[in-house]
Amino acid sequence: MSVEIVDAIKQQAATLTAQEKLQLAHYLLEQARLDQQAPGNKSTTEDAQRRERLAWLKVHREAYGGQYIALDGTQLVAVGPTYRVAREGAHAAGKPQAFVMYLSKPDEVAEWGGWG
Amino acid sequence: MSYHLSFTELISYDPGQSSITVPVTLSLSHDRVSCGAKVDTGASLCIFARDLGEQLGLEIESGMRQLVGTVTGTFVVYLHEVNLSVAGLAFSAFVGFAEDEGFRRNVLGRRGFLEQITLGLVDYDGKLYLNSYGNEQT
Repeated sequence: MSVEIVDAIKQQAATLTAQEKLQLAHYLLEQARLDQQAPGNKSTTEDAQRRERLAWLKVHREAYGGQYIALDGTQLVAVGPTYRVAREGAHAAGKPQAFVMYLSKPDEVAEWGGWG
Repeated sequence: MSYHLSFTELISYDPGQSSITVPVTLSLSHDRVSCGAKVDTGASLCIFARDLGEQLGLEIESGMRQLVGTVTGTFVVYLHEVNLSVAGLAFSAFVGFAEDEGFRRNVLGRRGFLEQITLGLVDYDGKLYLNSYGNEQT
C-alpha cells in the first residue's frame, strides 16, 4: 500500500470520534493479528527457523558433536548423552517443545543397517 | 513376569515381503511427499532418496553433510529438519537425503524416528504397533 493511501486513511480517521477511533484501532489490530497467523506467514517463520537452526548446528558441530542437544529456536537449552536426557533437560528448563536431536561429530560415520 | 505397553497406532504390513516397509509422509511448510520406508533398527539415521528432498523444495547440499558407513563402503547424505509422519504420529526430525541420485532406498532408523516412539512388532502377523514416547496410557 502506498504512503498516499495510508496518509489519506489517517486524515479520514482524524475526523472520527474517540469511540470510532477505538473501534478502528481494534479492527486494525485484529486484522494484523490474523495476517500474522495466516498459513503463508507461519510457513515463512517455520522455514526461517529451520534455516537458522541448521546454521546453528553447522557452527556448533565441533563443540557439541557426539551429543544429543535440545534447541528452542537457536537457543541451546539442554545437552546430554541420550535423547532422553536432553529431552528431560529441555522439560526442566521450561522448554518442552524444544527440538531434540543427535548432533554428530564432523568426522563421525553413521551406521547403515543390514547389509545394504 | 509380564510386560505391557500401549499403542495408539497399528500398521499392517505384508509379512511376505523381504522388509518391513511402512507408509511415510515428509513435509515442509508448503510441500509434502509420501513414500514407503523400511523400519531398520540397525540404521543410525532416517535416510531418504534425494528426489524426495528435492520435491520438498530442499537444496540438498545445503544440509549438514554426513558420512554413512555400510559393509562395503560409505555414502554421503545431507541432513535436514523435516516433519515426519508415520501412521497417525508426526514429529520434527533431522533426516538425511542421499547425495547420490541413484540411491532409491528409504529407511526409518533410530535417530529422528525410533528414539521418539514406542514400537511393538509382531512379524508373525505383519503388525507394527506405534506410539509417541510419553503418550502411553497407564
